[in-house]
Amino acid sequence: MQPTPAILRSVNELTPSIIGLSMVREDGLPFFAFQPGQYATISFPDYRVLRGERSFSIASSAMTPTELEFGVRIGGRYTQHLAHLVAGDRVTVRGPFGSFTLNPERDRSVVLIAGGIGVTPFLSMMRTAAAANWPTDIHLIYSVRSVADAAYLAELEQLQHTWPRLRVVYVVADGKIPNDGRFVAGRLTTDIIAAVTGGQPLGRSYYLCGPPGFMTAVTNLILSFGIRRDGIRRERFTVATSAIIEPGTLVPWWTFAAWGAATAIILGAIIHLEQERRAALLPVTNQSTVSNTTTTPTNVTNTEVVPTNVATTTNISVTNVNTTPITNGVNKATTTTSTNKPKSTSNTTTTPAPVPASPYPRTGMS
Amino acid sequence: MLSPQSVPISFPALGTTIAGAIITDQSQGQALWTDVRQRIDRFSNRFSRFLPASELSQLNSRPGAWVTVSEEMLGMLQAAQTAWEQTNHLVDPTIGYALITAGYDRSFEKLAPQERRPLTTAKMVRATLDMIRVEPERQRVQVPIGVSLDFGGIGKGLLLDQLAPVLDQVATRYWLSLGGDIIVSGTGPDNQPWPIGIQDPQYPERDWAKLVIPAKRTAVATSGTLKRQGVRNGQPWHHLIDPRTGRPSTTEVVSATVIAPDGVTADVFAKAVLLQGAVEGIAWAEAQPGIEALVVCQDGQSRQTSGLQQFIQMP
Repeated sequence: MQPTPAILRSVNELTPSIIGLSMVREDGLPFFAFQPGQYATISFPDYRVLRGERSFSIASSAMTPTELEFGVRIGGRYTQHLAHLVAGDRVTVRGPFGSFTLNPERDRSVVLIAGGIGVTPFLSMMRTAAAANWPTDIHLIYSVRSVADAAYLAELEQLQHTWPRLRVVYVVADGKIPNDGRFVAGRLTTDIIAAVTGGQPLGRSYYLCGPPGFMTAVTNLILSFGIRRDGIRRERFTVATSAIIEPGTLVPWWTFAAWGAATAIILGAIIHLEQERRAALLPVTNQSTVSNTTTTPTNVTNTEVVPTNVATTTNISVTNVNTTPITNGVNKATTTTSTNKPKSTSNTTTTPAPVPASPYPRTGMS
Repeated sequence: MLSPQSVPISFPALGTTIAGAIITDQSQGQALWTDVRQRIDRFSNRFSRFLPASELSQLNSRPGAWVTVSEEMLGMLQAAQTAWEQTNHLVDPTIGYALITAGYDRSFEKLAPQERRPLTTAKMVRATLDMIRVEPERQRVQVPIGVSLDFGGIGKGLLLDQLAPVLDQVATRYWLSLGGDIIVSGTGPDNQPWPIGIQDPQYPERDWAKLVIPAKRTAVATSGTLKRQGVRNGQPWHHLIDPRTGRPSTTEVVSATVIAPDGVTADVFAKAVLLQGAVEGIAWAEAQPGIEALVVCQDGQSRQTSGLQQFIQMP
C-alpha cells in the first residue's frame, strides 16, 4: 500500500486539547476508498519527530473522498508536536486499515459509545450515514470530561437536527451542563444505556471506542443486559508512546538508564501486587485498568487516558437519567429517580428541545 | 381584538442558541417563529460546512470543477466579496492552500503528461477569496483544488438581514439573536428601547455592560477569543484565525462588539476590529460610517469609538 502525498489543508482547534487535521491530495484527486470507522497512517516528512507513521481513525465522511480529516488529542510528546503543524505542510497518508466498520445492511439499529477522542471513527460513520441516508438508526452516547471537551459538538447538534435517525446524548463527568435534556451529568451507567435505547437494549449492535479502562467498564455494563460479547464491537484507543526515534538521532545515555529503572519499578510493583493478592486470597475485581487484552493492533496513538467516566458496577442508579430526550417514556430499565426536568415525549420528533428564553438580547461569543 | 404582548422564542440551531421576542398577538407571534425556524433550517441545510449534503459541502467536494450553484449561494458569495473588500481582506471565507503554478488549477488527471511537473516546482499560497472564480451570468462557481469555503464568519449576519424583513411584516418591535449576533427594532414591552447585554468575556454568565440603542432597527454582534481557547505548549491559542498569518490571532483583544445598521456589517466588522487589535481596530472602526465599536482586552481594559458612549450603560 503506497503512501499518498498530500497537503495539510487546515488545522482547527476543536477543543483546548483536540485538533482537527484536514488534508487533500497534491493532485486534488480522491484518496483511497474507505469504510467509515477505518483508520489510516499519517506522517509529516517536513518535521523530524513526526516522520514516523502513526495511525489515526478517519473522521471524515466516506462520501467525500477528496478530503481526509482526523481528530487528534494533544497528549504525549508526539501529538504535542502535531500542534505546531500549519496548513500547507506536506503529509503522507497510507490506508485504509481496520475492520471496525459499520455495515448498513447488517446494522439497522446501532448504539455507538465514545469515550473522549474515541468519537472520531463514529463521526465518520455518522457523517457518511447522514450523507447517504443509511437505513440505520444511530444512537451516540458521547462520554466526556466536561462540555468544553466535547469535540464536534456543534456538528453533532446539526447532524441530529437534520438527520432524524441520529440521536446524541452527552454524558458529562465534571462541570456545568446545559439544561436542555441532551446532557447527563455524572457517569455512564446501565440506566443511561437503557434510557437511550428506549428501554430496549437488546437487538442492537454496540460499537465502543475509547481508552482501555473506559472500554472495559462499558463492555461490562452492556454484558449485564445479557447481550453476547460478540454483539459488541470495540476499537481500543491507546495512550501515545514516546516519539519515534529516527535513525541517526543521538539518544542520551540516561534514556537507557531511565528505561531500565522504569521497567524494574513496574515489574517490582506487579510482582508485589500479585503477592499481596494471593496472600489475601481475594477475588479479582472487574476494575482492572490498562493491562487488559492487548492482542489487537494498536490503533490511534493520540489519546491520553482520561478518567474513566463509567460506573464500574451495574446496579448504580443515576439521578438525572430521565433528562435525556432519547427516552420515549417507556424507559423500563430506569430505576426510581427524582428530577424536576421535563421528559421528552417522543424520540421520533425532529424538533430540537427548547432552551430557556432570555428576557433580553445578549451579544457575546457564540 | 387581541392585545399585543411579548412573544418569546428560544431553540438550538446553527450550532448555537437562537432566541428572540416580538411584540404582537400570541398567534401571530407563534406563526412567525415557526416561519423563522424553517427559514433558519433551510439556510443551515444550504450553507452548513458540517452537513455533507449541503450545497456548500457539495461545492467544496468538487474542487477544480465548475459547479452550478443556487441564487442564494451567489448572494452569499457576493456578500462575502463585499465583506472581504470592506475589511481589507481580514474576513475571508476561504480555507487552505492552493497550488498556483500554471496547470495546477486543473485536476492533475486532465493535464498532459509533459505538463505534470513535480510538486517542488509548484508554489503553495494561502487561499484568498479572489481565487474563487464566479460566473454570475452562468450561475456557476469554481473552487480551486486545495481550497474550500466556510461562511462561518458572515453567515449569521447575512441570515439576520434576511430574517429582519420577515419580522418587519408582522411587527416593528422585536429582537432576534442568532447566538449573540443580534438585530433589534423598536421598543420593548415597557416602551423603552430593548436593552442589549454585552457578555462579560471573563464571566460569560454576567453582562459586562448594557447597550440601549433608541428606536430604529440596528444590529449588534460580538466576536471573541475566549469561548474556545486554551493553552498549548505554553502558547495561548483560540479559534479565530488571522488570515494574514493562518494562525490564531495574537491580539490583546478578547471581545469586540460592533453596532451597525445591518447584521452582515456588524458580524464582519466585529471580527475585523478584533483581528486588528485594540488601538488599530477602534481607529479603523472610527473611520467607518455608521459603525460604533467596543473592545475588551485581556487585562480588563476597554476601548471604544467616540459615538458609543451615548448607548452604553455600565452595571
